Formats: sequence, C-alpha cells, structure tokens
Amino acid sequence: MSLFSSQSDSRTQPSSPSNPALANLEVVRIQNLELRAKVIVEGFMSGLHRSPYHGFSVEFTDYRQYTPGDDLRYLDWKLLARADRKYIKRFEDETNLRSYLLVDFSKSMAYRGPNATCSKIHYAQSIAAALAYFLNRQRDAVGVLTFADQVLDTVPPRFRSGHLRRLMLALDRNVDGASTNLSIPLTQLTNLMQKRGLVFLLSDYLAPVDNLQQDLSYLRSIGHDVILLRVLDPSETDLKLEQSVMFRDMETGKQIYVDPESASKEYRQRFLEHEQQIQQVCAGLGVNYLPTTTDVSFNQLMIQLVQLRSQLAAGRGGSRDNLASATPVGEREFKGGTA
Amino acid sequence: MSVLFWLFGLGALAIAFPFLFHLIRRQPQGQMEFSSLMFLRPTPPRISRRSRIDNWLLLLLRCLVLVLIAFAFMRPFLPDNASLLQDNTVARRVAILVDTSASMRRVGVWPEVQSKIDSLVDSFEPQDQLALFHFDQQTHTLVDFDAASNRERADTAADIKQSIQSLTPSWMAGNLSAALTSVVNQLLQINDVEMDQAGVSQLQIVLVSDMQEPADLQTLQMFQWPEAVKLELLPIEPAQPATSDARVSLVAASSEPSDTDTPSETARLRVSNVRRSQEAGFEISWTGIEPRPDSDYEQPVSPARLPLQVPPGTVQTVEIPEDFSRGLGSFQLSGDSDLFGNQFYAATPQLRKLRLIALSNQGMDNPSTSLFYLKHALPQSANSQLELNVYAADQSEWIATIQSETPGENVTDCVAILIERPLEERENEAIQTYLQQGGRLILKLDDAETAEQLQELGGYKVAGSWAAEDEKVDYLLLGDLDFRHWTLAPFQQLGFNDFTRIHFWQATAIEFPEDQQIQIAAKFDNNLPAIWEKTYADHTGSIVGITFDWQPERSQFALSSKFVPWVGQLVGDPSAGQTPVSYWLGQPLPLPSTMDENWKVEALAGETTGLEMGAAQLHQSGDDPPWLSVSRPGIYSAKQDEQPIQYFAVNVHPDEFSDHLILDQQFETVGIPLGRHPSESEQLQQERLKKDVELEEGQKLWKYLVAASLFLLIAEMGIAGKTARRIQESSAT
Repeated sequence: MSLFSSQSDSRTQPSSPSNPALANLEVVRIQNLELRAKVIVEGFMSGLHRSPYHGFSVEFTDYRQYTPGDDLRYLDWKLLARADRKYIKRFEDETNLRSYLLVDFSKSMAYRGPNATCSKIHYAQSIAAALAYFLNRQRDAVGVLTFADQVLDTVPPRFRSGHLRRLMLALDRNVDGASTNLSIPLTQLTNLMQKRGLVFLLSDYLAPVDNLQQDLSYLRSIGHDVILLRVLDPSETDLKLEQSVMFRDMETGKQIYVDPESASKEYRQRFLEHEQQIQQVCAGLGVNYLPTTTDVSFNQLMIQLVQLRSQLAAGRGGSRDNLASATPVGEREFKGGTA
Repeated sequence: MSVLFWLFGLGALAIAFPFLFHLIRRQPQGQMEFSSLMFLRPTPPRISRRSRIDNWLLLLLRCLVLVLIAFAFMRPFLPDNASLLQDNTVARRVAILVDTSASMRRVGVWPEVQSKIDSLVDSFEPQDQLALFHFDQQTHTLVDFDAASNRERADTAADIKQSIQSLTPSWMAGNLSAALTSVVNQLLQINDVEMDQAGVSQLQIVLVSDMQEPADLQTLQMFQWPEAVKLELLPIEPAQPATSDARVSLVAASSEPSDTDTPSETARLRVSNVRRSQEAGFEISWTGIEPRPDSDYEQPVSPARLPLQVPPGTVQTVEIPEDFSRGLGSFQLSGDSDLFGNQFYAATPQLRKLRLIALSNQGMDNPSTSLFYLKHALPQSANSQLELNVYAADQSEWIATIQSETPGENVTDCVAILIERPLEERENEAIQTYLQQGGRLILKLDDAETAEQLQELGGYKVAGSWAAEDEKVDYLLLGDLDFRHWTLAPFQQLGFNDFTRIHFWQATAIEFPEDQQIQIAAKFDNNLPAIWEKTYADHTGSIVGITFDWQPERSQFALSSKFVPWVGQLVGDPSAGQTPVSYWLGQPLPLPSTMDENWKVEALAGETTGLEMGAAQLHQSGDDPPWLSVSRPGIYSAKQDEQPIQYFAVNVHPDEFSDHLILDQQFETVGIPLGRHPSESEQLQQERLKKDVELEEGQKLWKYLVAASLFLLIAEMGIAGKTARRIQESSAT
C-alpha cells in the first residue's frame, strides 16, 4: 500500500483527465519549462472559478493624508477629482512580496520509479516554475536558489522584465552534486534575505535532518514564511521487492545487497521515522510541510499551495498552531474554490 | 623429451581459468539504482553451491586438455643422443684495431677503451687467434699474429690487456683507411695449410674507435676488401662525458696553412662548441713565450682576455684583438671542461722591412716628380713593408746602408735601386758590387743627359731624344710588347694587354751594341726601345732600363691602370721567399738546405718543455731539402749551430675535432661487410638448434598430443552431457 495513495478530486479539475497521472503526463511532455509553468498555472486558475487577482500582495487597506514627498503613483486621483483631497492609498505591504524558491538538484532527485510519469526533479522543476510564473504574474519578486551538496545557482528576487526568463534558465538544469545538504542553502538564504518573505523549499529530504530545526528556526526568526514541499516517487514511499537485487545509491554510487524478505519492512519503518522527524520539526517552528508524490496532479498541488498561503496570510500574527504542517496532498479532501 | 619453444609452456597456466570460473562468487544479476540507501541495510549474500567444485572429473579433464594443447604448441620431440660433429666448427683470427688518434684524448674516452678491450678479449674463445694493432696516422702492431700463434692463448690475452694499459693516444690525426688496409693484409698473411692446421677460416677485425668520421674513407673503394674479413664496430662513448667541448683555432685568409702566411689583418680566431655542450661562455687569452734575444719576434706582453659566447652547436669567429700580442705563443680557451683542443699554437712571421733605393735629384712628395707616383704604387704585404728611400747626392749614406745590409753574399732587404741621376765613382763601385751580388738596377733614362752619363753602366748608346711638338696629335705608343718578359707578364691575358690608350710625349732614343745581352720587353711605335733588360752571364744581377717617364706631363703611364701592377712586377713580391710557420701535426716541416749534421730542434712551448727523444726527427733523402717531423703540438725552433733558423707552430689536425660520426652505411658503401663471425659455441648452438628442428619435424609429436586432447574433449562432453541429464532427471522427479 502506498504511503501517500493519491485520490483525485473531480471538482478541482473539471477540464483535466480524471486520472492525475495522465494529466501530469500531458504537462511533463512539454519541454519548455516556461510554457509548462504557464500551462500548469492556467489550468489551476481555470479551476478556481474566481478572480485570479486576489493574490498574495497588493492588497488595499486604507487611506492616509498626502504629505509632500510621497510617491504620486499612489495618490488616489479619483478621490482628488471627486473631493479635492489628497489621499495616498495604503497597501498591506507597500513593497512587493519577496519569495524564494529553493530547489534541490541532488542526484537523488533524478530518481524515477518503474511506474512514475516523471522523475522527482522533473516534477519539482515544474512546480517551482509554476510557482515562479504565478508569483511573477502577481508582480511579486521571485528568486531561485538551486542546491545539492552546495549551492549551485542563485537568482535574487526581482520583478522586472526578463526576470522570469532568468528564473526559468536557473531552474532548467540537470541534477548535480554527490549528496543532499539542506543546511547550506538555508544558511545562505538567511544571509541573503533579510527582509521578510516567503520561502519554498522543494526537496526529497532524503538526507539527515538533524540540523533542519536549527536552520529553519533562523529563517523563522527573521519572519519568513516557510513552506517545505517534499517531492517523492511513489515507489520510495512504499518499497516492494520480489527478488534479491543489488541496490546502487544514485548519489554516492555505493552498492549494497538487499534481501527482499527483510528489506521492505525495515525500509518502511525507517522511512516513517524520518518522516515523523521532519513533521515534528515543522510543527515546532510553525513551518508548513507538504509532502507529495510525483503521481499527484500539478493542479491539485498548486491549489493546496495557494490554500496554504491563504492560511498563512490569514493567520499572520495569530497562533502558530494554525500554521503547522498541512495534510499531505492526496490524503485530504479538497474543498476546492477560493484559495 | 625436449621441446623447441619453452614460452608456449606458459599456456599451461590457462588451467587456472576453470578453477577461477568455478570459484568466483557471482554477484546477484539484478541491479537497481535507487535514490538513497539511507533507509536500507545491506544483507550478506548466502553462499551458493557454485562456490564449491561440483565435479572434479570434469574439471580435471578440462585442465588436461589445456595442458596437452599447450604442450603441443611447445613442439616436443625425443632427442637424439648422437653428438654433433666438431669438424664444422672453426676458430677465428681476430685483429683488434684501436684508434689512438688525437680525438681519443677527449675526456673519458681512453679509460672506456681500456675497459672495453679487457671485456672484448675475454669474450673470445680460447681457440681464437688474437692480435692487437693501433693506428693514428700510421698503423702500429702491438701484438702480432705470429707471436700469438707461438704462445698460449691466456698469455696473448694478458699481453693485449697489458699493452692497452700502457698505451696512450697520440696527437696525430687518424688514417682509418690506411689502418684497415694494413690490418687486412696482416690478417691475410696466412696460407691455407696454416689455416687448416690452426682450424682458422674466419677473419675478423674489431675496430675500437670513437667513430669520428674520417676524411679519406672513400679511398677504401679502391681497395678490394676480402669477403672473408668481417668488420665489427665497437664505438666508444665516454661514460661520463665532459659538460662542454669547445676548440679554438686560428684562421688566416685561408683555413689551411699556405705558402704565404698573411695573418696580420685577416687572421681571425674560430671557436666552435659541440652540440652536446652545456656551456656557452668562454674566454680566450694569448700566452706568449719568450724567444731568444736574437730573434726578431716580439717580446710577450701581459696576456689579454677576450670573453665570448658560443652557443652549443655553433661556431663563432672573432677578429684577433689588437691588444693580443703577436709572435710566438698560443691562444688558450678557458671555460671548457674538456681541455682537448683548447690550445692553438701560433707563430706569426715577423714584419719584414724592405726598401727601394732611389738615386735621384727629385723629391718624392711633389706630384710633378715621377717618384711621387712610384711611392704610391709600391706593393705592400701584411708581413712586409716596402719603403722608398731617395738619396740625392749623399753618397756615403746609401752606400753604407747597402753594405751594412748585405752581410756575406746575401742581399736581404733592398729589392732594387732606381737610378735617375749621374753617379759618382764611389757610387758606381757600390752599384757594381750590388749587381754582382744579384741585385736589381732600374735605370730611368728619360733625360738624355743623364742617360749619356749612365751609358757605361747600362751598356747602351744614346742616339738622341724624342719630344712631341703637339701633345694632342703627336705622341708615341707602345707598339711591340713582349709579354713573355717578366716585367710585362701580368698583362699577357687578353683583357689586359691593351696599351694603345697610353700616350708618351717624351722619350730617349738609345741603341745597343750587338755583344750585349739585352732583351727588349717593349718598343715604341717608332721602334725605339721603351723597356729593356740587361742580364749577365757571370752573376744573377740585372739592369732594367726605361726610356720614358711616367710622370703625367710626359706620359699617361702613371695614371693608367697598368702602372701599379707594372711597378709591383718591377720591384717584386715583398712576401716572396718567406717560409710558412704554421703546420698540422703529420705535415713535414721544411728546413733550409743549409742544415748540416750539427742541427738541433728545441720545443719552446707545448706538451713538452724539453724535447723528448723521438719527438722530432730529421729526414733527409737524396737531393731533396731536409724536413722535420714532430709528434706533439707546440712551437718548435730549428737551430743550426745553436742559432735559431726557423720557428714552427704545430697543431693537431682539425679533422680530429670533428663531431661527425661515421655511419655503418658508410662502411657498407665502400664494400666492407659489417658484423661478427659466430664463435665456436655459438656455431654449436646453431647446429644443435638446426638438428632439433629436423628431429621435431621428423617426429611430429604435436599431432599425437592434439589427437589426445581431442579424445579427452569428446570424453568430457560425454561425461558433461550425462551429468546434465542426471541433474535434469533428478530435478524432474
């Protein structure tokens, strides 16, 4: 039995095929990453049925008196014409939202199970690209940091013409590195991003998570909202072996002989322990943790992410318990509708 | 049982493969790449039955097949006990020819020769006849075949080793062609009966040399090299060659010593550095030696040093600096680790001062006088200086000069006396003496009055004088020219014999009595004598008469292109008669014919301070002038009655410094077969191998071995098939 057996919700994807694996297959066949992101976002937007302009930022709050020196772009001209009073429109955040996409490009991300539609990195690239496209469309500043055992590439958060292309180029790369090191990108991000923002960390988290709590606590202390997105192959969540095989580690090249009778059971147990460890860390820090597998449709995952973001916006300043780990995608009942 | 090819026996090691194939632990066939092994633990594989040998019989059969095939490839055969015939084996007659030319003096070469000859002598069989020769310019015998044949072989070998230890290279150039020819003749000095008795049929020469390319190898083409004689080359290379090897030599106008040494202005030093040299910076210095006080050579001055850079493989030529002393001494090259060729001995001839005495009332500094043009046309030489001395009426001065300069019978420094004024009686006497001593008089008779006063001396009669009335239309030309006469000899070639453009406007007409020995070299077109010579029967003196003046107001001769060579011919070559002083070792050093038994040669510088016995030898045969031969480079002084009469600078021949090596092909080109005759044991070995091949070809045991291995393979297949069927049947039940 799969650890995360996905169930599709027809209400969220009225125009897509009923099988999410088939829906994903159509998307992942698109070679161009930017086009793929656009297809994901448009599909996800069409499923929302509501105005897509309720975004993460640019939200009007109130007026204040104009004082000389204020930016005239925010002067309410209609009110000036109507009442001859100069008022400045105030927004929730006068600067755009800064968000960072941290994508794991370690070799383990290249794994693709026997029945999977795409590899984990392919899936993570698509989701990261879709997020970047979506946030950029909302005029938010988006940055990308790719990493493996070290930081591979960094694109700082900007909103300007051509920036989306830079983001896509940074994301459109091959896997590299010998192992997964989660500390280095998080530490570097702590130094890079001093203003409050939103951080997506996309990885398979197949690495020791002993320092994860400390690294995430630095980000949280600055005020960042952090969403951990765990991308796994379905076969990684439920290892099934029929005969003895030599396993070869994709990252280290190490080979071990595994007996099928004892290995599956032990694997499942140790995997769950690791999973619980991550969840405890996230719950303690108020970090959103969203595990998913590559057979979950992109639309479903995007909706889940938007909902998480909405919860973050609504609960800012509230209790941390509301912002704890989310229900794994595929296991919860989607309500659909607005994010 | 013996085999032909042992190496094929290694093929039997292939029996290890069946064991390995049985015992190798097989890895599981399935291999799966997984994202991370952090949740997996390795499980030790279980030992399968494959790691044990299941069927010993099959394994042994397969190994046996491999062994039999390998053995078949070794071509085994059953040996024949019949002993090989000894009649076919022969001894060798070997001449060891050692190069002892000067080039073998290079650093590290000669010790290498000695050690190689020791091992070479030991490498020969006891029945081989050995002889030892060495050569430089000549070939010398150290141990000959006759002595070797009458003694024990061990004694001969000891003799050769001892001779080589006491031998040292000479300073002479090597003559390889002559040495090879001579040694071949020595080898062939054995008749068939002696060869049969000694069991000798192979003739061998072993050449031990640095293989410097000889200049005369082509002369061997004229020699019919015997086919039976083989030449083995034993090239010598120093075990620890010097880090540099440069040489210095003096080059004159021509690189070879010639009859006329002219080093003064054209002489240069040539420094060459071999390609393998690691040094490039050298210094040249001049070390003069002190000649005897009565010598004309300059005294040595403090040595000057000339630094220069000569990159490896290049030749640098430098002018001799002015501050280098000239005379007797040597140029020394410093900075070279190999001292061979670093010294070049030089003996530059001293400057000779010659004079042309003019008895004239005119000066020689005024262009209106004829002596002015004569002074500028006098020939000069690098080693001699010809001066014109004019004496107007001061009789005693020039007469004293003539007398003091003519000790005994020789006229040394006065090339001629030109007379164009009347002579006093005392002057006449001195002139007559000068003539009788072989001197040359030049009578310039352009003035009729003077000509009349000199009639008695010249033996002619003045018939008048001729002068042109109008210079443009009235002039004389030289009409009848005798180019066989020595005064006009330079103009006998077709391009130089045109005198028609030279006009003469004044001349003295003279006539000769019939009893005079007069030879007219040139006449004017009016048949008057222009240039004539009077010779004497009782002595070698002569008078040359000229009836015109070359001064431009009286003729065009001085300004013509004929004047300078004509004057040069008239007064003679000032460098004539000088003996060369630079020689290569091996060249004969000529001595004056006046040498008698009371001669002596002294080495002033060089490899020996005092002259060693045999270092110089006087050779004299028949009427030929005597000559000297020396064996070492240096500066030699030949003395007669303790008086130095000749100096010689003798150097090593330049061929000995060449770094070109002779190639094997060059020997083959001149028809010399290279190689070494096999020794008796080698011949026996060859015979044995030949016989083994014949035996193996006759027996062909490998066929039986292949057949046996095929039989074993069939048996193996049968057993294997039966075993497989049994396993299948047991697994089916």
